[in-house]
Order: sequence, then C-alpha cells, then structure tokens
Amino acid sequence: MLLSKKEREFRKSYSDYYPIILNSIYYRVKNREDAEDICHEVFVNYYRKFDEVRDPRSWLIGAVKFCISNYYRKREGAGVAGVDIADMEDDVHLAFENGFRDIRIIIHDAIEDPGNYHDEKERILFDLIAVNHYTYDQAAEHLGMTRRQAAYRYRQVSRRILDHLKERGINRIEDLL
Amino acid sequence: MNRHDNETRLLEELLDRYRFARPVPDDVREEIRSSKKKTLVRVLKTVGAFSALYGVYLSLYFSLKKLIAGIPFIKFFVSAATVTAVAYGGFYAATKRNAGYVPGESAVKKEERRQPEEKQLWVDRITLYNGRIIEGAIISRGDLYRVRTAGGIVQVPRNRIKMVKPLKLEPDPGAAVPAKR
Repeated sequence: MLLSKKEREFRKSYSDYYPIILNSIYYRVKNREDAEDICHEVFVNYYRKFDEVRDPRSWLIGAVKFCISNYYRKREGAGVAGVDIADMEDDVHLAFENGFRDIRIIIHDAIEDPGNYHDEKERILFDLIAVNHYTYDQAAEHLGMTRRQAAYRYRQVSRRILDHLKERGINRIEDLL
Repeated sequence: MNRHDNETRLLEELLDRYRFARPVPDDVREEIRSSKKKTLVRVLKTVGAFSALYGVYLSLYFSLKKLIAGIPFIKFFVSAATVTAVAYGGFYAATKRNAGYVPGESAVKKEERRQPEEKQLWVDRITLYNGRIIEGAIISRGDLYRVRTAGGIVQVPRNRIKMVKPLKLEPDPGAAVPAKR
C-alpha cells in the first residue's frame, strides 16, 4: 500500500475535523494567520499522539484550548501586545450567570448526547451547519456527501435533538427565544 | 442559504440565542475550504511524513473527493457499470476476432472450416500390449480411450495401450474407416 494505516486514518480524521477545528480557532482569535498557525500546531500534535487518542473530538477540542493559550503566551513573551485568553474560554458552566445557565446546560447536554447522532459524520455535519452556519453545499463538500444527503441527515439530527429537549421538559422552543 | 423546516429553524435560533453558534464570515469559510490541502501538506512536512508520492496521492484524493461528492451514488454506480460493460464487451469482441471467431458459427463448424481434408486423411493405429491392433479415430482420451472403428465404438483402457500411431490414408472420401483386429 502507498500509505501506512496511521497515515490513512490520520488523513481521514483530518479531513473530517479540519473545518470545525479551524472555524473554532478563528472564532476565538479573530485573525486568519494566527488561526492557521494554531490549527497547524493542533494537527501536528494530533499526528504525534494519534496512536494514543481514543476520542478524537474531545482530544482536538482540548488541544485547541491548550494551543490557543500557549500561542498567545509565547507571543506575550516575545513582546507582542497581550490578548485576554480568558475571553476565549467557552465553558458552558461559566457562561450566562444571569439566569440562563440552566437552559444552556440542558441545550449543551442535548447537543453533546452521542445518542442523537448515528455516527461521527452526523455530529460534524450538525456542527458545521447549526453551529458554524455552513450551507448544505459547503458541509456536503467537506464531508464527501451530496447536498441532499447532507440536508436529510441534518434534519434527522435536528429532530432527535428537539425530541431530547422535549424529554427534558422544553416543549415549546419559542418560549426560550 | 439553507432552506429549513420550522423545527430546524427554531433549533438554530435557539443555538444563536444561547451563544452556541460560532459563525465566521463567508470569506473565512471559503478560505477554510481552500486551505484544507495546504494545511495538511504543511502538517505532514512538519512531522516528516510527507513525500512527493504522497503529494501526488493527496492531489488525486482531494480532486476525486470533490468530483464524487457532487454525483449521487446511483448515477455514479450506473456510470461505472456502463463503462465496465463497454470495456469488457470491447475486450471480448477484440479477443474473439483475433481468434477467428465468426458470430453464430458453432465450434464444430469452425473446426471443420479449419482442416476439413486433414481429418479425413488420418486414422489412428492403436497397438495393445497383447499384440492386437485397432485402427480408427480416437474420439476421447483419458483412463478409457474411445475409438470409432468401422464396426462401431470400441473402449480400450489406457494401461493396455502400448502405442498410438497416426496413419495417413489414401484420399478416398467414400471409404469407411477400416477396423483390423
């Protein structure tokens, strides 16, 4: 074979997660060059630890946070204007202290529940469309599926998440808006 | 822009309202799309896993992924089946043509067409260990030889055959194959 098993699996994993990871980094740092540098660092670390990683999603999200803070700490050390890293945290349990925290936790649990996704591709698809506001065409291209497949699978996932919210007592979404 | 049903739209509004959404501008999204291969190459170079061959492979991989993503599975399958059928049909026709095959002609006719005279001019002389001689046309070989003689079909076990010798006959189309014992 042309590629080793590790290289094949890494390329596949990279291809799936790259858009959501770079999107997530850019959303926090708001700078394209910095985002690409950090993304590069995240995937270099991912390649090196690839054999040990059991849950790529959790590992990559953790690595994003670590690499962002590390990147700016290095730059502060080099005399570049400081950036408030604390602002980049996105911990659901710390946010919206003024009464919305409980609802946010319920929504977060619904989104994170693996039972709402048939496979990891559906999870990435939901992230791309609902969280990152990609179009069906863009998400389909990233995941190597047709637009129709992307739209159908996205609707299925959304329905499962809404059912999950109903089970938790949120019967009318309009009330929360 | 995506067209959603009401429930999906409400879910997206809910995510926006509770700050789960992390949208980026359109141009950044486009940049993310186009930089996918470039960043992968950069990562592989950094870890020392990149080679020229791998570069070619990645170019093919990303091109094919883009191409196939736009084609529904059934169309892709039908196209692949058509191409395979045409290629196989062409190969089969070319092979048969080279072998002198004429459609509709049976294998027997073809054999007759090749050497009609030679078949009639030869006869096999089979000498057995016990001294007997059988003359005729061997119609099957194996553990048991079947020989067509003037008196009918004779079966001879192979282990009793000492020698088989083809004999040339005088060209006499009306003559029957002689049998001599």
